[in-house]
Amino acid sequence: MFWSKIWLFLLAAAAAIAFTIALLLPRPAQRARTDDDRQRLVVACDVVNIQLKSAARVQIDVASAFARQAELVAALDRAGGLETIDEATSKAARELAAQTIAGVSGTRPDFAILIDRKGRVLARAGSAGVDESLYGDTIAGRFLVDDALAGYLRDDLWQVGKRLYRVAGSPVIKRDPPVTYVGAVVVGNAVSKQFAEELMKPLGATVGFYVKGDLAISSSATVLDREVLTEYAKLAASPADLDTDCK
Amino acid sequence: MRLRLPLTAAALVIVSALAAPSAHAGSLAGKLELPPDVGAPPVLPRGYLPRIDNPLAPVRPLDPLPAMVVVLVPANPELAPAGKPATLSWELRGDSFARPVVAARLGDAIEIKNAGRAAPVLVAHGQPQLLPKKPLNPTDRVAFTPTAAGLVDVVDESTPHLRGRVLIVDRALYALPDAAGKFEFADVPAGDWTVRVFYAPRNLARATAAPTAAGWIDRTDDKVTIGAKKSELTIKLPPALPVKP
Repeated sequence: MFWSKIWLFLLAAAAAIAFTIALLLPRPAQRARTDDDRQRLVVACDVVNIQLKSAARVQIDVASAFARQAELVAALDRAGGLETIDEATSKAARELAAQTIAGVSGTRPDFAILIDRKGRVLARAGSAGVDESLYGDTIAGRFLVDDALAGYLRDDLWQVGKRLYRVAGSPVIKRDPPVTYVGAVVVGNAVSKQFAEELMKPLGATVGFYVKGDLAISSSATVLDREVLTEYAKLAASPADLDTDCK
Repeated sequence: MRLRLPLTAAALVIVSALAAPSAHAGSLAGKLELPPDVGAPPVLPRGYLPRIDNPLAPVRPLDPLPAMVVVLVPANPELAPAGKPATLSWELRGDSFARPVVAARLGDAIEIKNAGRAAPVLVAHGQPQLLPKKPLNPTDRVAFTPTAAGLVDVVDESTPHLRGRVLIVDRALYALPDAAGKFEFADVPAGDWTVRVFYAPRNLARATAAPTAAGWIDRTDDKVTIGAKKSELTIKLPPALPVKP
Protein backbone atom coordinates (compact mmCIF):
# COMPACT_ATOMS: atom_id res chain seq x y z
CA MET A 1 0.00 0.00 0.00
CA PHE A 2 2.76 2.34 1.04
CA TRP A 3 4.84 1.52 -2.10
CA SER A 4 1.87 2.04 -4.39
CA LYS A 5 1.51 5.64 -3.08
CA ILE A 6 5.20 6.32 -3.79
CA TRP A 7 4.85 4.86 -7.26
CA LEU A 8 1.79 6.97 -7.90
CA PHE A 9 3.65 10.10 -6.80
CA LEU A 10 6.73 9.31 -8.91
CA LEU A 11 4.59 8.51 -11.90
CA ALA A 12 2.66 11.79 -11.52
CA ALA A 13 5.88 13.81 -11.13
CA ALA A 14 7.45 12.20 -14.20
CA ALA A 15 4.30 12.85 -16.20
CA ALA A 16 4.27 16.49 -15.11
CA ILE A 17 7.93 16.95 -16.11
CA ALA A 18 7.38 15.26 -19.45
CA PHE A 19 4.31 17.39 -20.11
CA THR A 20 6.18 20.58 -19.27
CA ILE A 21 9.08 19.64 -21.55
CA ALA A 22 6.65 18.79 -24.32
CA LEU A 23 4.99 22.18 -23.93
CA LEU A 24 8.25 24.12 -23.80
CA LEU A 25 10.00 22.45 -26.70
CA PRO A 26 8.98 23.86 -30.09
CA ARG A 27 7.23 21.22 -32.01
CA PRO A 28 8.84 20.24 -35.29
CA ALA A 29 5.99 21.68 -37.34
CA GLN A 30 6.00 24.95 -35.46
CA ARG A 31 9.78 25.14 -35.65
CA ALA A 32 9.68 24.56 -39.36
CA ARG A 33 7.07 27.28 -39.75
CA THR A 34 9.10 29.75 -37.64
CA ASP A 35 12.18 29.04 -39.74
CA ASP A 36 10.16 29.47 -42.88
CA ASP A 37 8.77 32.82 -41.68
CA ARG A 38 12.25 33.99 -40.71
CA GLN A 39 13.58 33.04 -44.13
CA ARG A 40 10.73 34.84 -45.87
CA LEU A 41 11.44 37.92 -43.76
CA VAL A 42 15.14 37.84 -44.65
CA VAL A 43 14.31 37.52 -48.35
CA ALA A 44 11.70 40.30 -48.15
CA CYS A 45 14.14 42.56 -46.31
CA ASP A 46 16.89 41.91 -48.86
CA VAL A 47 14.55 42.52 -51.78
CA VAL A 48 13.22 45.74 -50.23
CA ASN A 49 16.77 46.99 -49.72
CA ILE A 50 17.64 46.18 -53.32
CA GLN A 51 14.54 47.97 -54.55
CA LEU A 52 15.17 51.01 -52.38
CA LYS A 53 18.75 51.20 -53.65
CA SER A 54 17.53 50.84 -57.20
CA ALA A 55 14.96 53.62 -56.67
CA ALA A 56 17.69 55.81 -55.13
CA ARG A 57 19.92 55.22 -58.14
CA VAL A 58 17.11 56.24 -60.51
CA GLN A 59 16.53 59.37 -58.46
CA ILE A 60 20.24 60.24 -58.48
CA ASP A 61 20.19 59.93 -62.27
CA VAL A 62 17.25 62.34 -62.40
CA ALA A 63 19.11 64.84 -60.17
CA SER A 64 22.21 64.46 -62.33
CA ALA A 65 20.24 65.10 -65.53
CA PHE A 66 18.59 68.08 -63.86
CA ALA A 67 22.01 69.51 -62.94
CA ARG A 68 23.22 69.35 -66.54
CA GLN A 69 20.59 71.78 -67.88
CA ALA A 70 22.60 74.63 -69.36
CA GLU A 71 20.07 77.33 -68.37
CA LEU A 72 20.00 76.06 -64.83
CA VAL A 73 23.79 76.09 -64.64
CA ALA A 74 23.84 79.70 -65.85
CA ALA A 75 21.11 80.74 -63.37
CA LEU A 76 22.98 79.25 -60.42
CA ASP A 77 26.27 80.75 -61.59
CA ARG A 78 24.68 84.21 -61.64
CA ALA A 79 22.94 83.71 -58.27
CA GLY A 80 26.21 82.77 -56.58
CA GLY A 81 27.58 86.22 -57.36
CA LEU A 82 24.62 88.08 -55.85
CA GLU A 83 24.74 89.59 -52.39
CA THR A 84 21.09 88.69 -51.86
CA ILE A 85 18.75 86.72 -54.06
CA ASP A 86 15.87 88.86 -55.31
CA GLU A 87 12.35 87.74 -56.11
CA ALA A 88 12.62 88.17 -59.89
CA THR A 89 15.75 86.01 -60.04
CA SER A 90 14.13 83.36 -57.86
CA LYS A 91 10.91 83.38 -59.88
CA ALA A 92 12.77 82.91 -63.16
CA ALA A 93 14.72 80.01 -61.67
CA ARG A 94 11.54 78.49 -60.22
CA GLU A 95 9.90 78.49 -63.66
CA LEU A 96 13.00 76.87 -65.10
CA ALA A 97 12.92 74.17 -62.42
CA ALA A 98 9.19 73.58 -62.98
CA GLN A 99 9.78 73.15 -66.71
CA THR A 100 12.59 70.72 -66.02
CA ILE A 101 10.37 68.69 -63.67
CA ALA A 102 7.66 68.57 -66.33
CA GLY A 103 10.19 67.31 -68.86
CA VAL A 104 11.25 64.31 -66.76
CA SER A 105 10.09 61.04 -68.27
CA GLY A 106 9.04 58.30 -65.88
CA THR A 107 8.55 59.11 -62.21
CA ARG A 108 8.67 62.87 -61.92
CA PRO A 109 10.09 64.47 -58.79
CA ASP A 110 7.54 65.98 -56.43
CA PHE A 111 9.89 68.87 -55.91
CA ALA A 112 13.23 70.34 -56.90
CA ILE A 113 15.42 72.78 -54.97
CA LEU A 114 18.12 74.85 -56.65
CA ILE A 115 21.00 75.82 -54.37
CA ASP A 116 23.76 78.29 -55.20
CA ARG A 117 27.44 77.78 -54.34
CA LYS A 118 26.98 79.58 -51.01
CA GLY A 119 24.37 77.03 -49.95
CA ARG A 120 21.42 79.42 -50.39
CA VAL A 121 18.15 78.36 -51.96
CA LEU A 122 17.73 80.06 -55.31
CA ALA A 123 14.32 78.51 -55.93
CA ARG A 124 11.97 75.76 -54.88
CA ALA A 125 9.53 74.22 -57.33
CA GLY A 126 7.10 71.35 -57.13
CA SER A 127 3.69 70.06 -56.27
CA ALA A 128 4.46 68.87 -52.72
CA GLY A 129 7.11 69.02 -50.05
CA VAL A 130 8.19 72.61 -50.66
CA ASP A 131 6.83 76.12 -50.25
CA GLU A 132 7.51 77.69 -53.63
CA SER A 133 7.37 81.21 -52.22
CA LEU A 134 10.45 80.68 -50.04
CA TYR A 135 13.96 81.42 -51.28
CA GLY A 136 17.24 82.87 -50.06
CA ASP A 137 17.51 80.70 -46.95
CA THR A 138 20.60 78.60 -46.33
CA ILE A 139 20.23 74.84 -46.40
CA ALA A 140 23.94 74.06 -46.51
CA GLY A 141 24.62 71.96 -43.46
CA ARG A 142 22.28 69.17 -44.44
CA PHE A 143 24.37 66.12 -45.21
CA LEU A 144 23.03 65.68 -48.73
CA VAL A 145 23.45 69.36 -49.62
CA ASP A 146 27.02 69.53 -48.26
CA ASP A 147 27.99 66.42 -50.19
CA ALA A 148 26.41 67.76 -53.39
CA LEU A 149 28.20 71.12 -53.01
CA ALA A 150 31.45 69.20 -52.52
CA GLY A 151 30.91 67.28 -55.76
CA TYR A 152 29.16 64.07 -54.77
CA LEU A 153 25.97 62.51 -56.05
CA ARG A 154 23.94 60.86 -53.29
CA ASP A 155 20.54 60.13 -51.82
CA ASP A 156 18.92 60.60 -48.42
CA LEU A 157 15.60 60.73 -46.60
CA TRP A 158 14.13 64.02 -45.41
CA GLN A 159 11.16 64.61 -43.19
CA VAL A 160 9.11 67.56 -44.35
CA GLY A 161 6.22 68.29 -42.03
CA LYS A 162 4.80 64.88 -41.24
CA ARG A 163 5.76 63.34 -44.56
CA LEU A 164 8.86 61.44 -45.53
CA TYR A 165 10.64 62.20 -48.81
CA ARG A 166 13.27 60.27 -50.70
CA VAL A 167 15.71 62.89 -51.96
CA ALA A 168 18.72 62.88 -54.25
CA GLY A 169 21.32 65.57 -54.79
CA SER A 170 23.79 66.41 -57.50
CA PRO A 171 26.44 69.09 -57.85
CA VAL A 172 25.88 71.66 -60.58
CA ILE A 173 29.07 72.22 -62.54
CA LYS A 174 29.88 74.86 -65.12
CA ARG A 175 31.73 72.90 -67.76
CA ASP A 176 33.05 75.81 -69.80
CA PRO A 177 36.64 76.48 -68.75
CA PRO A 178 37.43 77.13 -66.03
CA VAL A 179 35.35 74.22 -64.77
CA THR A 180 33.71 75.39 -61.53
CA TYR A 181 31.14 74.26 -59.04
CA VAL A 182 28.21 76.67 -59.15
CA GLY A 183 25.77 74.97 -56.80
CA ALA A 184 23.64 71.90 -56.30
CA VAL A 185 20.22 70.55 -57.10
CA VAL A 186 18.00 68.40 -54.91
CA VAL A 187 15.02 66.43 -56.18
CA GLY A 188 12.52 64.72 -53.92
CA ASN A 189 9.72 62.17 -54.10
CA ALA A 190 7.25 61.50 -51.31
CA VAL A 191 7.35 58.07 -49.72
CA SER A 192 3.73 57.39 -50.53
CA LYS A 193 1.42 54.45 -49.91
CA GLN A 194 1.64 53.68 -53.62
CA PHE A 195 5.43 53.56 -53.42
CA ALA A 196 5.27 51.25 -50.39
CA GLU A 197 2.76 48.96 -52.12
CA GLU A 198 4.85 48.76 -55.27
CA LEU A 199 7.87 47.80 -53.21
CA MET A 200 6.00 44.86 -51.71
CA LYS A 201 4.02 43.77 -54.76
CA PRO A 202 6.28 40.83 -55.69
CA LEU A 203 6.67 39.69 -52.09
CA GLY A 204 3.25 39.53 -50.54
CA ALA A 205 4.63 41.12 -47.38
CA THR A 206 4.13 44.45 -45.66
CA VAL A 207 6.52 47.37 -45.34
CA GLY A 208 6.26 50.41 -43.08
CA PHE A 209 8.41 53.54 -42.94
CA TYR A 210 8.91 54.92 -39.45
CA VAL A 211 10.25 58.34 -38.55
CA LYS A 212 11.47 58.82 -34.98
CA GLY A 213 9.32 55.88 -33.89
CA ASP A 214 6.15 57.04 -35.61
CA LEU A 215 4.67 55.37 -38.64
CA ALA A 216 4.99 57.67 -41.66
CA ILE A 217 3.54 55.35 -44.29
CA SER A 218 2.78 51.67 -44.64
CA SER A 219 1.75 49.33 -47.42
CA SER A 220 -0.98 47.95 -45.14
CA ALA A 221 -2.84 48.87 -41.99
CA THR A 222 -0.51 46.68 -39.91
CA VAL A 223 1.43 48.62 -37.29
CA LEU A 224 4.48 47.31 -35.49
CA ASP A 225 4.23 46.73 -31.76
CA ARG A 226 5.84 49.43 -29.62
CA GLU A 227 8.10 46.73 -28.12
CA VAL A 228 9.50 45.89 -31.55
CA LEU A 229 10.24 49.56 -32.19
CA THR A 230 11.93 49.89 -28.82
CA GLU A 231 14.16 46.94 -29.62
CA TYR A 232 14.91 48.40 -33.06
CA ALA A 233 15.83 51.75 -31.51
CA LYS A 234 18.47 49.97 -29.42
CA LEU A 235 19.95 48.41 -32.55
CA ALA A 236 19.73 51.64 -34.55
CA ALA A 237 21.76 53.48 -31.90
CA SER A 238 24.82 51.58 -33.06
CA PRO A 239 25.68 52.24 -36.69
CA ALA A 240 24.73 49.12 -38.58
CA ASP A 241 25.37 48.63 -42.23
CA LEU A 242 22.22 48.63 -44.28
CA ASP A 243 23.58 45.72 -46.26
CA THR A 244 23.57 43.45 -43.24
CA ASP A 245 20.56 44.66 -41.30
CA CYS A 246 18.41 41.90 -42.74
CA LYS A 247 20.54 39.15 -41.24
CA MET B 1 47.74 130.17 -11.02
CA ARG B 2 51.34 129.18 -11.42
CA LEU B 3 50.58 125.65 -10.36
CA ARG B 4 47.51 125.11 -12.60
CA LEU B 5 49.37 124.85 -15.92
CA PRO B 6 51.95 122.25 -14.84
CA LEU B 7 49.18 120.22 -13.14
CA THR B 8 47.00 120.28 -16.26
CA ALA B 9 49.98 119.28 -18.40
CA ALA B 10 50.81 116.43 -16.04
CA ALA B 11 47.19 115.23 -16.10
CA LEU B 12 47.15 115.28 -19.91
CA VAL B 13 50.36 113.26 -20.04
CA ILE B 14 48.90 110.66 -17.66
CA VAL B 15 45.61 110.43 -19.61
CA SER B 16 47.36 110.10 -22.95
CA ALA B 17 49.70 107.48 -21.50
CA LEU B 18 46.69 105.44 -20.33
CA ALA B 19 44.76 105.82 -23.58
CA ALA B 20 47.59 104.94 -25.93
CA PRO B 21 48.43 101.27 -26.54
CA SER B 22 51.43 99.94 -24.69
CA ALA B 23 54.62 101.16 -26.27
CA HIS B 24 55.82 97.55 -26.30
CA ALA B 25 52.71 96.05 -27.87
CA GLY B 26 53.33 94.39 -31.20
CA SER B 27 51.41 92.33 -33.67
CA LEU B 28 51.62 88.90 -35.21
CA ALA B 29 50.44 87.98 -38.67
CA GLY B 30 50.68 84.55 -40.17
CA LYS B 31 49.33 81.86 -42.35
CA LEU B 32 48.28 78.28 -41.79
CA GLU B 33 49.82 76.09 -44.44
CA LEU B 34 47.73 72.98 -44.99
CA PRO B 35 49.38 69.66 -45.88
CA PRO B 36 49.39 68.88 -49.62
CA ASP B 37 46.65 66.27 -49.37
CA VAL B 38 44.01 67.01 -46.77
CA GLY B 39 41.81 64.27 -48.16
CA ALA B 40 38.15 64.10 -49.03
CA PRO B 41 35.36 65.59 -46.93
CA PRO B 42 34.27 63.27 -44.11
CA VAL B 43 31.84 60.50 -44.96
CA LEU B 44 28.48 61.82 -43.83
CA PRO B 45 25.51 59.69 -42.80
CA ARG B 46 24.07 58.31 -46.00
CA GLY B 47 20.79 57.23 -47.51
CA TYR B 48 20.48 53.93 -49.34
CA LEU B 49 23.60 54.28 -51.47
CA PRO B 50 27.14 55.42 -50.74
CA ARG B 51 27.98 58.81 -52.24
CA ILE B 52 29.33 58.79 -55.80
CA ASP B 53 32.02 61.06 -57.27
CA ASN B 54 30.64 63.19 -60.10
CA PRO B 55 32.16 62.42 -63.49
CA LEU B 56 32.72 66.03 -64.57
CA ALA B 57 35.13 67.58 -62.08
CA PRO B 58 37.38 66.46 -59.23
CA VAL B 59 35.58 66.36 -55.92
CA ARG B 60 36.43 69.29 -53.66
CA PRO B 61 38.88 68.41 -50.92
CA LEU B 62 38.09 68.94 -47.27
CA ASP B 63 38.40 72.56 -46.16
CA PRO B 64 39.49 72.37 -42.51
CA LEU B 65 40.27 76.09 -42.08
CA PRO B 66 36.80 77.18 -40.87
CA ALA B 67 37.15 74.55 -38.15
CA MET B 68 40.45 75.94 -36.85
CA VAL B 69 41.37 78.54 -34.25
CA VAL B 70 44.87 79.97 -33.78
CA VAL B 71 45.61 80.58 -30.11
CA LEU B 72 48.43 82.65 -28.66
CA VAL B 73 49.40 81.46 -25.18
CA PRO B 74 51.72 83.68 -23.12
CA ALA B 75 54.78 82.21 -21.42
CA ASN B 76 53.81 84.37 -18.45
CA PRO B 77 50.02 84.19 -17.84
CA GLU B 78 50.10 87.77 -16.57
CA LEU B 79 50.89 88.89 -20.10
CA ALA B 80 47.41 88.08 -21.41
CA PRO B 81 45.43 91.30 -21.38
CA ALA B 82 42.36 91.13 -19.16
CA GLY B 83 39.79 93.03 -21.17
CA LYS B 84 36.15 93.58 -20.33
CA PRO B 85 33.83 90.67 -21.10
CA ALA B 86 32.46 91.02 -24.61
CA THR B 87 29.55 89.53 -26.48
CA LEU B 88 30.33 87.41 -29.50
CA SER B 89 27.61 87.26 -32.14
CA TRP B 90 27.21 83.89 -33.87
CA GLU B 91 24.73 83.69 -36.72
CA LEU B 92 22.66 80.58 -37.31
CA ARG B 93 21.86 80.53 -41.02
CA GLY B 94 19.15 77.96 -41.49
CA ASP B 95 20.71 74.52 -41.37
CA SER B 96 24.21 75.59 -40.36
CA PHE B 97 26.08 78.28 -38.49
CA ALA B 98 27.76 81.07 -40.46
CA ARG B 99 31.03 79.66 -39.15
CA PRO B 100 31.11 76.12 -37.77
CA VAL B 101 33.73 76.86 -35.10
CA VAL B 102 34.14 80.15 -33.26
CA ALA B 103 36.17 81.16 -30.24
CA ALA B 104 35.69 83.41 -27.25
CA ARG B 105 37.52 84.31 -24.07
CA LEU B 106 36.37 82.93 -20.76
CA GLY B 107 33.84 85.40 -19.42
CA ASP B 108 32.62 86.48 -22.85
CA ALA B 109 28.99 85.86 -23.76
CA ILE B 110 28.11 84.06 -26.99
CA GLU B 111 24.93 85.28 -28.59
CA ILE B 112 23.30 83.02 -31.18
CA LYS B 113 21.10 84.87 -33.63
CA ASN B 114 18.65 82.76 -35.60
CA ALA B 115 18.67 84.10 -39.15
CA GLY B 116 16.96 80.98 -40.51
CA ARG B 117 13.33 79.97 -40.82
CA ALA B 118 13.24 77.00 -38.48
CA ALA B 119 13.07 76.95 -34.68
CA PRO B 120 15.77 74.53 -33.49
CA VAL B 121 16.14 73.51 -29.87
CA LEU B 122 19.83 74.14 -29.23
CA VAL B 123 21.57 72.63 -26.25
CA ALA B 124 25.18 72.55 -25.08
CA HIS B 125 26.28 68.93 -25.02
CA GLY B 126 27.14 67.84 -21.49
CA GLN B 127 26.37 71.31 -20.08
CA PRO B 128 22.56 71.48 -19.89
CA GLN B 129 22.67 74.58 -17.68
CA LEU B 130 24.26 76.74 -20.40
CA LEU B 131 21.40 77.01 -22.86
CA PRO B 132 17.69 76.97 -22.05
CA LYS B 133 16.08 73.95 -23.70
CA LYS B 134 13.43 75.69 -25.76
CA PRO B 135 12.93 76.49 -29.44
CA LEU B 136 14.91 79.40 -30.81
CA ASN B 137 12.40 81.08 -33.08
CA PRO B 138 13.38 82.86 -36.31
CA THR B 139 15.01 86.28 -35.67
CA ASP B 140 15.29 85.44 -31.95
CA ARG B 141 18.58 85.49 -30.06
CA VAL B 142 19.86 83.47 -27.16
CA ALA B 143 23.06 84.16 -25.19
CA PHE B 144 25.12 81.97 -22.96
CA THR B 145 28.30 82.49 -20.95
CA PRO B 146 30.55 79.46 -20.57
CA THR B 147 32.00 79.03 -17.11
CA ALA B 148 35.10 77.04 -18.02
CA ALA B 149 37.70 76.99 -20.76
CA GLY B 150 37.42 74.25 -23.36
CA LEU B 151 35.14 73.26 -26.19
CA VAL B 152 31.39 73.80 -26.03
CA ASP B 153 29.41 71.67 -28.46
CA VAL B 154 26.11 73.23 -29.46
CA VAL B 155 23.69 70.68 -30.92
CA ASP B 156 20.12 70.64 -32.12
CA GLU B 157 18.56 67.52 -30.70
CA SER B 158 15.87 67.34 -33.36
CA THR B 159 18.15 67.27 -36.42
CA PRO B 160 21.19 65.11 -37.10
CA HIS B 161 23.19 67.83 -38.85
CA LEU B 162 22.85 71.15 -37.02
CA ARG B 163 25.99 71.38 -34.91
CA GLY B 164 28.35 74.17 -33.87
CA ARG B 165 31.45 74.35 -31.72
CA VAL B 166 32.84 77.16 -29.54
CA LEU B 167 36.37 77.16 -28.18
CA ILE B 168 36.67 79.02 -24.90
CA VAL B 169 40.18 80.23 -24.12
CA ASP B 170 41.44 81.47 -20.77
CA ARG B 171 44.40 83.83 -20.42
CA ALA B 172 45.21 83.63 -24.10
CA LEU B 173 44.50 85.41 -27.36
CA TYR B 174 42.82 83.85 -30.37
CA ALA B 175 42.33 84.50 -34.08
CA LEU B 176 40.19 82.79 -36.69
CA PRO B 177 41.95 82.07 -40.00
CA ASP B 178 40.36 83.38 -43.20
CA ALA B 179 39.63 81.31 -46.31
CA ALA B 180 43.30 81.49 -47.32
CA GLY B 181 44.50 80.48 -43.86
CA LYS B 182 45.73 83.97 -42.95
CA PHE B 183 45.35 85.22 -39.39
CA GLU B 184 46.41 88.29 -37.45
CA PHE B 185 46.80 89.29 -33.82
CA ALA B 186 46.94 93.03 -33.16
CA ASP B 187 48.09 94.69 -29.93
CA VAL B 188 49.90 91.73 -28.50
CA PRO B 189 51.83 92.62 -25.31
CA ALA B 190 55.56 92.25 -25.78
CA GLY B 191 57.00 89.00 -24.50
CA ASP B 192 57.26 85.31 -25.26
CA TRP B 193 54.26 83.50 -26.62
CA THR B 194 53.41 80.04 -27.92
CA VAL B 195 51.29 79.64 -31.02
CA ARG B 196 48.92 76.67 -30.97
CA VAL B 197 46.28 75.59 -33.46
CA PHE B 198 42.99 74.12 -32.30
CA TYR B 199 41.07 71.93 -34.73
CA ALA B 200 37.45 70.96 -34.17
CA PRO B 201 36.27 68.86 -37.14
CA ARG B 202 32.59 68.62 -37.92
CA ASN B 203 30.70 66.98 -35.09
CA LEU B 204 28.95 64.03 -36.71
CA ALA B 205 27.85 62.36 -33.49
CA ARG B 206 24.24 61.92 -32.51
CA ALA B 207 22.92 64.66 -30.25
CA THR B 208 23.25 62.64 -27.08
CA ALA B 209 26.48 60.82 -28.00
CA ALA B 210 30.02 61.97 -27.32
CA PRO B 211 30.95 64.61 -29.92
CA THR B 212 33.54 63.99 -32.63
CA ALA B 213 37.04 64.32 -31.20
CA ALA B 214 38.65 67.78 -31.33
CA GLY B 215 41.82 69.21 -29.87
CA TRP B 216 45.16 70.91 -30.42
CA ILE B 217 46.92 69.94 -33.61
CA ASP B 218 49.68 67.54 -32.69
CA ARG B 219 52.85 69.37 -33.74
CA THR B 220 55.75 71.23 -32.22
CA ASP B 221 54.20 74.53 -31.21
CA ASP B 222 55.88 77.69 -32.49
CA LYS B 223 57.47 80.03 -29.94
CA VAL B 224 57.47 83.69 -30.84
CA THR B 225 58.82 86.75 -29.15
CA ILE B 226 56.64 89.76 -29.72
CA GLY B 227 58.38 93.10 -29.82
CA ALA B 228 57.51 96.49 -31.19
CA LYS B 229 57.76 95.29 -34.78
CA LYS B 230 55.21 93.22 -36.61
CA SER B 231 56.10 89.54 -36.44
CA GLU B 232 55.25 87.09 -39.21
CA LEU B 233 54.84 83.35 -39.03
CA THR B 234 53.94 80.49 -41.34
CA ILE B 235 52.57 77.45 -39.58
CA LYS B 236 52.96 74.18 -41.44
CA LEU B 237 50.28 71.72 -40.42
CA PRO B 238 51.07 67.99 -40.37
CA PRO B 239 49.41 65.48 -42.73
CA ALA B 240 46.05 64.09 -41.58
CA LEU B 241 45.82 66.92 -39.01
CA PRO B 242 46.12 64.74 -35.91
CA VAL B 243 44.80 66.26 -32.70
CA LYS B 244 45.61 65.78 -29.03
CA PRO B 245 43.45 66.83 -26.08
